[in-house]
Order: sequence, then structure tokens, then C-alpha cells
Amino acid sequence: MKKALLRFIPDKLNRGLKRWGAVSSMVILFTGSILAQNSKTLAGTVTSPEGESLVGVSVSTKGGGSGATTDVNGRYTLTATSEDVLVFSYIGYNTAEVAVGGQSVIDVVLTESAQLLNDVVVVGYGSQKKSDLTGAVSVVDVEDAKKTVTYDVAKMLQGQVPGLTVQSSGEPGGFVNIKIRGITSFNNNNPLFVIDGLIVNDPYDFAPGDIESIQVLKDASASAIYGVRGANGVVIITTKKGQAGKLKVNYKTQMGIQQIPKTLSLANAREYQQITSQAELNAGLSIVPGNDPNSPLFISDVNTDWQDAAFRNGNIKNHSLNFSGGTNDVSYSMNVDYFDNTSYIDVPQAYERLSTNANLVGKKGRFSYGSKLAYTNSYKESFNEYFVGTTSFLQLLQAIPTMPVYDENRLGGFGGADNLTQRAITLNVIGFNNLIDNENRRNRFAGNIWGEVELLKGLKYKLRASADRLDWATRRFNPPSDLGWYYITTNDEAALDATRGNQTRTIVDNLLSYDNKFGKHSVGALFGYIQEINKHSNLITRGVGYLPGEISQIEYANAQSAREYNSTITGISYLSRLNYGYDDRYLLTVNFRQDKSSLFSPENNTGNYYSVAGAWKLHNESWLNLPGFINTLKLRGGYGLLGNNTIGVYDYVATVNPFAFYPFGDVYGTGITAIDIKDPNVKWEDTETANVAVEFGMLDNKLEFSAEYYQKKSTDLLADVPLPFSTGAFPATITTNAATVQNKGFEFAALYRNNFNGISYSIGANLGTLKNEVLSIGADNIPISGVGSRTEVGRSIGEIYVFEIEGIFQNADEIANHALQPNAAPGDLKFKDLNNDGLITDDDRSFQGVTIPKYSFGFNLSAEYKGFDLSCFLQGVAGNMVINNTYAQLMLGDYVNHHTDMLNYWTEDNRDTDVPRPVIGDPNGNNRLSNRFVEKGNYLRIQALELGYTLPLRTNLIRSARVSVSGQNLYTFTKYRGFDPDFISDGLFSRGFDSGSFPNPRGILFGLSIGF
Amino acid sequence: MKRNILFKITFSTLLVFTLAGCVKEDDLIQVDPNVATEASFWKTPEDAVNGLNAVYGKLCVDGTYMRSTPLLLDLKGDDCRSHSPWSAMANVGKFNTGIADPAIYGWAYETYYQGIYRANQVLANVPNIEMDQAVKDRIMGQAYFLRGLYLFHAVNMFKSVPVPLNYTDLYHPQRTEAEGWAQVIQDFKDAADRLPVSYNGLTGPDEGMTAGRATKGAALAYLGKSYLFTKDFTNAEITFKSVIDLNVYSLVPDYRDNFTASNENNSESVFEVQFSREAGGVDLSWCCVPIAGWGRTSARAITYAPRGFGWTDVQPTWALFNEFMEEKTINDEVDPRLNATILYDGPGVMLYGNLFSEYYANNAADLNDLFCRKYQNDETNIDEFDWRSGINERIMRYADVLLMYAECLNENDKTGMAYDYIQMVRDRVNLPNLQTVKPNMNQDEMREQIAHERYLELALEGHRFDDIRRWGWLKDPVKLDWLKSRDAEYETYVVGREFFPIPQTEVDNNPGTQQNDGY
Repeated sequence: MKKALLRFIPDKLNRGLKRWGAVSSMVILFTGSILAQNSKTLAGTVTSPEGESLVGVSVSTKGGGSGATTDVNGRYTLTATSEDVLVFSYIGYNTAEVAVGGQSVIDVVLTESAQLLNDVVVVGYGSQKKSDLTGAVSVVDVEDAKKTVTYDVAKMLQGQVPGLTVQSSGEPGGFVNIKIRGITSFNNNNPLFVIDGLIVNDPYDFAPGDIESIQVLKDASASAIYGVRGANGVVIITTKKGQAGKLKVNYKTQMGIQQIPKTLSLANAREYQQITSQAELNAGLSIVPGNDPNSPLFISDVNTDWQDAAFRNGNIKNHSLNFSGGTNDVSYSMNVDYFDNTSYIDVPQAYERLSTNANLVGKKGRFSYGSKLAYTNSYKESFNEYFVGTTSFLQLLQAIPTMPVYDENRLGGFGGADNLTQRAITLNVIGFNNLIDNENRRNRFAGNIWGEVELLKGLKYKLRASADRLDWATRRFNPPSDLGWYYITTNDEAALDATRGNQTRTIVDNLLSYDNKFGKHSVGALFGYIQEINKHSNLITRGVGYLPGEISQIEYANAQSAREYNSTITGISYLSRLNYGYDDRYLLTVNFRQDKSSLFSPENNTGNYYSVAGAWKLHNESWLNLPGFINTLKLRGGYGLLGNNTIGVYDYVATVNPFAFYPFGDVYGTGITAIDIKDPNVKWEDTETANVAVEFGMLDNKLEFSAEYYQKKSTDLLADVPLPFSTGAFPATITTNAATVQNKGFEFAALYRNNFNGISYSIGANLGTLKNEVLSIGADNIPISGVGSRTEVGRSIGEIYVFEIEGIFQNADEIANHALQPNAAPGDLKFKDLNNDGLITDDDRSFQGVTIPKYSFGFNLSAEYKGFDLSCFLQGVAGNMVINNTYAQLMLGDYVNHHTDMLNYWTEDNRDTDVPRPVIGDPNGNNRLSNRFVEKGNYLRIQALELGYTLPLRTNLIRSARVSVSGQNLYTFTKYRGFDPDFISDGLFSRGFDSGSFPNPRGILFGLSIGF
Repeated sequence: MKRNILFKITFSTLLVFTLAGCVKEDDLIQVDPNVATEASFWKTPEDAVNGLNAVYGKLCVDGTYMRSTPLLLDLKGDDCRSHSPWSAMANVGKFNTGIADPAIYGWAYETYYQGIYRANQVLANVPNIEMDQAVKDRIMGQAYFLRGLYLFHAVNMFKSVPVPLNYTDLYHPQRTEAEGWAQVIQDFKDAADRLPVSYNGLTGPDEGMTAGRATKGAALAYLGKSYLFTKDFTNAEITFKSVIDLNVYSLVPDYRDNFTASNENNSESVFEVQFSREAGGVDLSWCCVPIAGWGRTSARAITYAPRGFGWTDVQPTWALFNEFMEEKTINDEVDPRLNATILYDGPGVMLYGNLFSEYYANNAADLNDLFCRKYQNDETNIDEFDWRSGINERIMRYADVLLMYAECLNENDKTGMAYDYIQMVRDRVNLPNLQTVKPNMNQDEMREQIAHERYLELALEGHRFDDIRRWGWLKDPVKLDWLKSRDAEYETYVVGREFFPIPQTEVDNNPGTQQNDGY
């Protein structure tokens, strides 16, 4: 009681309470002096690692005797003998023990224990003691996660939680693919993010700076309360709330540089000309004049190293300012965060975000209330793709070295290639991205407001209204320019695409909860009624036709067009949860949720989801004598049904397109027709999950260990089942409930913490395994083809499916004796005739490995000593194969630049090689996807290494100060020959296809954090 | 006091938000405000016409006559070649189309079936709409014609293909080539029975938008062509004669009027795909989901354009140039079709407002090369780089009908009668009377003559390779060698590759589909 009082003292009572504290200390002192002979008075301060004073820490001598509590300044005094050992304990922190010895002043820094078993964990629509959980909930160590410097909380989760995989790229503001426990859907597999009760699909709009806790809900017991949104798992994030006390200000900044971690060995101008000329000669063509030394048009004065020209140091900056404070009745916390990141490529592409978040919590009698308001303003200058499906990064690598970066004779001032002399369709990526304006602005207000009344003891009614308003504006202006013969933008083609859109989501939660204890029985119940509306509105405008230098606004275009898109999604849900505990030994959780949504036809709009889970705290059984080193032992398990509703809006209704016109002469003849095919009976997809787990606390809870096995089976998957072209529909797919997929795996997490000679350290490790298997696809089990992949029953989603090579044809005889490869010549690749039909056809492709990592893992190591702290975080994956298409695209032997490996191409005089002859047109299909480009995707990455020092200064103004230096993505242990084994892809049917996403940058950052 | 205010503000705001976020059971049914539902369509005669217009709409996207179809039909002929750096394009004429890359040929295949899908919607729904019978007949007739036309392309280029006759089934099995042709013929018959000879003076919901609509003549011409392509010369002869006997078609005096924007839908045009720079917006209607900003222009001109004015992906062969030089006009001049077909370093040849000889003066390679002129805007534009050509593609010309009729006569042992119809085509360009210069040809000689006439009259119009294939030249070693001597791209001909591959997506997703031989 005293502890609680002391923790929440309002400012004006400070002085009085201090006095009271002093009196109580004197009493303790007096009592102590009577009891102990060699007793002396000890004093000291207890602080957190950030240097904040810890108020209300319990300080006592081991074995009893004297005790004290720290005051508002974290100070304590008590009496003890030199033989005594002082025990410092505080909720949420690791208990510390210090032998008194000859000391009279003992200052202690308590380290936070995010995973302490008594921690309260935020779960869906409530919270629970971690030790009472029956479901699979991983609590992320926020301090560890924050060591990855990023704008996106999803990226921060990489390697922190077993069973969670992340794919990311190095594009400023680029997106992140995140999956929990495998792939359960053919559509959206990203988990649901819930930030302070707000449901958000795009967590990157919210600054990670003031995040207080992250919980990852992985199984049905934990996520069933989110019903139809729960199947992919749920990430629950809470931000800092204020605490009673005077105003506290924390400022944190990190600044640094980012750069490309590696470069590839690419051909220079001479080498490019040599390889491409050989390819022309091999095809029976004449050498283009620019590559022909005998031509007057031979290009000898340009030798652009595009990697050298493009790569530079990008900047990354993050400032975060937090104010918090409050009184007994009202407390507040406010965070202002600024993030700025420029590209490591010499183009204007960048991402900048200003965000604020304010939380208010109040109490008045039986009423409590609160609100949250977050605002974000972000600006992203995006990279531009000329063709959909290619990436700027790959096109940069493919740019030919005989094209200059700059050329003042071309409109726009950038270099380009020429049809006659070079013939290459090659894009000057630097020029293209500098010329085009591609702005994306987002403004977002998200907040909620709630009130709660305690009707009876333990019975509470809570009403919460949430609103999330996002406005975005995109502008892409492509001015008249000349980037070479193929990339000429004429005045008539110059275009501005300007889009305005907004989305408003409102959610009203009515929650009735009851928590109470009757003897050995503890009961918790929750009922909820939830209404949700999501409105979306887009205005898309386009102006075509601009003169060079003309004002880039819609009204200046020669022709304008505009269109609108509007949609509304509504939902009503009922939810309930029952928690029952007996004698702190047996725990039971039952969840039920019913969801109704306008996404489906009225006949199919209702889904029912539930879960049942139990836990058994074996260590609390009196009949069981656990070995002494085991402190806690818990078994838990659960089963449930979850849903996934990621389907397009209005997707069950067949519609007609009104813009399929035909010009009769020059007369516009309106054309209206159905272009796609809809399944009117489409409904939710269901995921059944079951899991069992064992959790240990050992060696005085210094070692925590958990092991878990799970199985998820998803049925009625909403799949875009590919249709033959002959169906006539566009897209040639039908969205229907068509497939069954199963995911199984083990998850292990271990954490060891200890102190050694004043060094406190911790070692954490986690490992997740995953086996994904497709059980059925549609009515006929027709496999789904991806890029170089196939998804087939009995295998995992997106396994690599390509040709196999068996050497190079050395002469015409070998070709004649081999299965027929039309137009093959010596120097071409031999493909394996897997079905022995004497022909090389698409039936000769075979499976070449899974693309979903079998293992994903992370390691956190940290140590602290006398103000210094050092931490290291490693993460990686193993057991997956990758199609290195970046490499494949540099081995084409065509009018694009080449990897230097291509120099070793086959000739009559260079037969001992595995590189085929280059030939324009590739008549033998040497470049088709084959096992030549399949590589292991295993890697282990030093994601973050950070050294910090907490300055020993302490004034009335400054509470704490810490400086740090950190390295991001410092080194990757991998045999992968591409740029980065952590690449972004569709994450599904073509997950293993690395088509050249922006490599994750290496970064060096300096940080400073000050508390006032 | 302050706290009380905060408390009150919080609760009253909460109340407002709660009311705003209320959802009733009725709200669970949401109707798409952006588009009409199919259930509300197909009710009125206007719906029928609009539905039909959309079937035409698929003629002018990338897969069809906007770009891919002319390329696929032209590039394999010995009248043109490709040095495109885009290998999917360059490989077409070299018979090297790879199944791994569906570009161009896959787009064509896909689009033909999207057109059939739209035609089948009309054929299934229009019979149920109450309307004037004459209007209904001509709408149904056009839908049969268009389904037949799309299927004609699919069978002609891809051989064994599905034949969808409804738009509700997801899977339509692969059919034999003969089954495909049988349906093409049936569709053109059903069209010819219902279509008017002309739309002039007709009233109804289609009034005012008649240029380019399929007529009885168009259906009969394509029916005749289908008979010809299936070697049913008897029926072909009768059918082509019925086109001639309609007495509505005549050759335009200026040969070049068939290839520019200035004299479209003229008396020689039996069926013409419409492109317009005026109707609709300015966005290129490549594919996929039609949007409000779409125009309907062709990208053929930029693709075939001479170097410096477009992509130069297609160039005429020297064999074509040389064959034009073989026979002079009655005034001892070069065949005027040469200058209408090919841009080259000839006296006074202009190149988008420049003298050919001056523009390429410093560039020996281009100065001594040949470029395409048909369907280029070289007289009206400075270049083709805006992608938007408004020139209609005349896919069935009366000249073609006359030459096909002559061919039927010759095949039906009426070789002597063939002269007159060939001469009609020759007369326009002042070539001497064939009866005089080559009298009394036998059937084989006449075949060669017709091949020569068709080669020159219809060069770069997508007919040459169809002729080469149906005449069996690829199976004749002498002819194949001759073709190789005229166009080196034949060096890499592979047996079976006179047809394109069935796109991998079709093979993968349509159970039982067999790939064409040679792939």
C-alpha cells in the first residue's frame, strides 16, 4: 500500500510525503539499531538503465530484518550490518542482490525484465498476467527490437519472435512482408496490427519511438477474440502512458548514414561490347556500329560504372521527444517523432515522416476515461518503374556502360542509348528517377476515446469509439524528356497523374467485463458488441500533354480525365471470453466471436469463431516435487477456429464495365460488358489451429525456456484460382474458396540473464520451424504457377519449378544425340529430358526446393557494466531456396549489361566452362529459368550491434543521458550470390523469386538520449 | 474544476463518435456505387447495342490490331524481318517464340478469347431482350461475326484451340483444328444470314454509329476465306462470288488510300478495324480493365516506323523490294505500290517531311536500308513517338477478295476465268494486261502468278505467311530453300512452328490441353 502511494504521489504532496518517508526511515533506523550490533546506516539511489529514478523500490536485507522503500528521487536509507546482503526488488525489473561489505553508499541500477513471469500482457480487448496465459503470446523485448532503426514497426519484429518471418527491402519507405506461423492464405498473410486498440493495416504510419509493449498473438486461443481477422496472427502494440509525477521529458536522436553493403562485378564498356558483339555474331547478325571497333560510330569514350555512379551514402535521421506526467487523477504522455531517410542511390527518392502521439488517462470516482490521438504526416518520393514487374534496381545493374549518365544534348540533360549505334533498350535509372516527380503524401489522424464505469465490484462497462482518418495524395509527373531512343517522352506523352484519396474507419466497442476471485476460484468474463464502418474514396485525375518546362498541374495539360472510386465496408461483431482459474494451478480460456461483414453476400456474411485453451501450472502442485533448479513449469494447449476475410470489396457481385467503347468512324460508341468472372457464393476462409507448449523457469528464473508445437489448417482459402485464357475473363482468375493449406512447426525461445562481477548480461535465442503443405487446390487440384515456381498439392506453396541443365553442347553430334532442342548450337545449354520423351518441353521442369524458410531464428546478446552497455542482435533463416533472378538477368548475353562471369562464355577455344555462348534472341532458351539460377537462401545477419554509455552526470535538470553508436546490417553470413538474401517478393506463389529488390542498407548511427 | 471539464468533454465526444459509428443490420448490405451490376444490364435495346460495341472494343487493344496481331501475322512472312532488340518480337519471324515468355503471342491468344467472352454475352442475353426484330437480327449477326473473327484468328494462328460457345463455363476443352474451323464457318454463316448489306438509312439504337460495323459482305468474305483456308474451294468460290455480286465494293483509284487516315471505310474496305485519335480519351488502351481515359489508337505506326521516327521493329525484306522492280507499269514506271509500301533511298522519297536521302545521309546503314510505309503517318506527322496512330487497319480489302476468288477459280480448274479478277487489281496500278504478257497459264503457273500478285498487293498486311503455310511451301524443300534465300529468318524454321505455341497459362490451367508440335 505504501509502495503504491509512493509511486503515484502528485506533485503538491511531494514535500509532505517526503517528510513522512523520512519519519518512516527514522523508525526503521531506530528499530535496526536496537536489533543489530554492528549495524550502520546505508544510503543510495536506485535507477533504471536509462538513469531514471525508480520510486518505491523495495530494499531489504536478505533473510529479513530491515527494509525500506525508495522515495521520489529513488533514494533510500536503511541500516544493515556489513555481513548483510541487500535485496532490491521492483515490479517489472530484475531483482538485484548486493553484499554490503564495507560500503556505506550503494547505488543500484535495476534492469528491466520485460519477460518477467508476473508481467501483465496486453491481449485482445484486455490484459492478463503473463503467467496466467493459456495461448501462444510472444512478448517482444521492446528495447531489443528498437535497436533495429526503422520507420516500420514490422521490420523491428524481424528475428525477435519465434515463428515470425519478415521480408524487407532497402527502399526508403518501402514495405515489409511479415508472416506469423507460415502461410495460411493465398491473399493477405500479413497479421493484424492493433495499436492502442486501433486496428490498422499499415503500421508504418505510426512511429515506433514511444512503443511500450509489443505482443504477438500466434494461436487461436490468443487471437480468436479477433475472429475473422485473427487467422494470420495479431500484433498488439501499446504506446507509453503517462505516470503520476512531475513532467518528464525524454529526447532521443539517432543520426547516421546508410550505404549499399556490397556491389556486383559487372562488365565495363569494353567487356560489354565484347560480349554483346559475340552474341550478335552468334545470331548471324552484324555488330551494331557502337560496339564495332571498325566502325566510325564505335563508342570508345564512354565507360560508365553504373554502380559507382549511383551508390552514395544515404542519410537516416530520427528524433523522438517524449513528455509525460500527471497527477493521481489524470496522466498524459505525448510523443513527437521525426524520421528522415534518403536513398543510397543518387536520386531524389526519400522518405520523411513527422508523427505525434498523445495518450491521456483519467479517473473520477467509479469512472475512468482516456483518449489517444496520433497524427502522422509523411512524404515519400517513390522509385519509378518503366515496365511493371521490373525494378529500378535491376534496371540500374542492367544499364549498359556505353551510355553516359549525363548528356546535355538530350532534353532533360541525362544520357541515353541510341537505336542505330547501340540498339539497346536500356534505362538511365538515375536520369529517369531524377526527371520524374513521384510524390506520395499521407496525413493520418487516428485516435480513440473511451469511458469506463465500474458498475459493481469487478463488473465494468467500457465504451470506446475509435476513428482513423487517412488522407493521401499522390502525384506522378513525367515531363517531356529524352533518355535515349526507346525512352523518349514526347510532349504528347508527358503526363501528370494526381490522385487524392481518403479512408475513414470508425469502430465502436461496447465491452462488459467481470473479474473476481472467490476463494480458490478466479473468474474473468468479457462480452463485447462491435460496430465498424470503413469508407474509402478516391479521385484519380490525369493530364496528358505538356510542353517542356510547363507548369505541372492538371489544368495545363492538353487533355484531362478524371475518375472516382468509392467503397464502404461495414461489420458487426459479438465477442465473448471466459477465463477461469482454480488455485493458481488450472487455467481455462474460452473465446467466441461472431463476425458479420458486408464483404460477402447476405447469405454468407456471418462467421463464427471460437477457441478453447487450458494451462496447468505444475510448479504449484503440492504433490509434485520438482527438482530445485526448476522454479516454474507450465503446460498449456489450445484449439480453435479463426477466420480471414481478405477479399476485395463487392467481390461477390458480377458487374459490367462501361468503358469498353469502340470508335465507329470517329463516333464514340459506348461499350458495356462483363470482363471478369465472380463467384457469388464466396465466403470467409477458416483456419483451425491447435498447439501445445511447455514453459520453464529455472535457476531462480534466470533461465526461461519455452517450447511449442503448432498445427494450423486453413480451409476454404480464398484463392485467385487461375483460369485458362480461353475462359475469356480478365483477370484470368476467379476468387473463390478453393484451397486447403496446412502449416506445422516448433517454436523455441530461451532467455538467460545473470550478473557476474558487476556485469549484468543476457542471452536470448529463438527458433521457429515451419513446414507448409498444400492439401487441395480448387475442385481439380490444378497446380498454380508462379514465376519459376509451382504450387501443387502435397508440396509447400511456391516451390521452385524449373528446368535442369546437364552441361553444354560441345559439338553438333552431341546436339543430334540429345533430346530435341530446336535451334540448339554448340555452346548452348543441354537441358535434362526428365520425362525421356526425346523432346525438351515444359514437362521437363522439376521441383528444386522450398522457398519458405524451414528455420527462422534470432539471437539477442547484451551486457552492461558500469554504465557501458553492449548489445548484439543477429537474425537469419535457413532451409529455403531462391531463384537469383538478379544474376539471371545479368547473364542474358543480350543488349543489357553483363555480370563479369559472362566473360567466361563458351567458344570453340573455351570449352571448359559452365557459361553458355551469348546469342541474341536466345534460340535455345539458355536463359529460361533453370537450376543454374537456383541458390540456397540461408543467411545469418548481424542486424544490429550497439555500444552505449550512460553518462554519470546527474543534475537537477538532467535525469539521465546516454550516448550510443550502432551498426545496422553489419555483416551477413551467406553463400547467396545476389545482393541480399532478405529480399521482398510477392511472399506467396513466387516467394523465392529475387527480381532485384533494393538491398537492405548497411548503416552506422550515432545516438543520444537525454531525460529531463 | 479543470478535471471535471476534461471528464465532460471526454464523455460527450465519446457519445458523438459512438453515434457516428453506429452500424445497423441493414448496413451490412453494401452496393457497389462505382459500377452497374450485371443483373441490372441486358434489359433494353440500348443495352444490346452497348454490349455489342464492347465486343468490337477488343479489336483495338494490344493483343489484337493495336499491335500484336499485325506483328504476329507479318513477321513470319518473307515480306518483312525484325531486328528488334525485344527478343519476343524478333523471335517471331525466326520461329523461335519461346514458351517461357508469353509476350505478344500470349497477349493475342488471351485477347481473342476475351473478345469471344464478350460476344457470347451478347449471343446469350440479347435474344431475351424485347426489341425490333431487324435490330435484334443485326446485333446478333454482328456478334456471330465477331465471335467467328476472333476464333478465326485463334484457329489460324494457334491450331488446336478451345471453342467457347457460352460465357458461363470456366473450362472449355481444347478442340481439333477441324472442329475449330467448323465453328468459324458456322459463325460466319449465322452472321451472313442476319446482317444487312449496308447500314445506311437504318434506324434504331445503333443509328449514327455505323462506320466499321460488320456487314453481310464482311461475313461472306470471311466465310469465303475460311472455306479457302480449309481447302473447300467449291464453297469458297461460290461465297466470294456472292460478295462480288453484292455490287457494293470497288477498288479505290489510289492504292495508298487503303493505308492512311484520310480515306477510311472506303468502297474497297470490306471490314476495317477502327482507330481514332478523336473518340474517347488519350490514354493508350493496351489491355485489361477499360477506364474512362482510354482512347482507341494503334501502336502499329510507332512499332513499324523507320529509325528516328519510331521503333523500327519491322522492316521490309529486299526480296519484296526486288519483286516490285520485276514488272514495270504500262507507262514503263516502277509499280506505284512500291512507294506506298516501302520507304527507301529512291528519288524524291520523303520521310516525315524530310528527304530520305538527306535524313540518312550520314548514316550508310540506314541510307541503304528499307523501312515500312503502310499504315505510317509519314505524310501528316513529324514522327510516331506519341504512340497514337488513328489509321484504321483494313483487314479485309476487296482486292484481297478478288485475288482469293481468282485463286478459287484456278483451284477449281477455271484458270482462264481467273485472269479477269487478277487484272482488276493490276489495272489500278497500271500493270499490263496479264492476258497479254502471260497468256494461257496452266494451273501451276497461275498459282505462282497469284502468289506473286498477292505478295505485292498485300505486302505488310498480314496475309503473306498465311498464304505460305496454306500453300504447303514449308513442307516443300524446294520452296523452303527459296524462302530461305529471300528471308534468312527461315533458316531457323522448325517443323510445327508455323503455328504459335499454346500459351503456357492455357496448358497449365486447362486440363488435357496439349502443346502444339515443335515446342
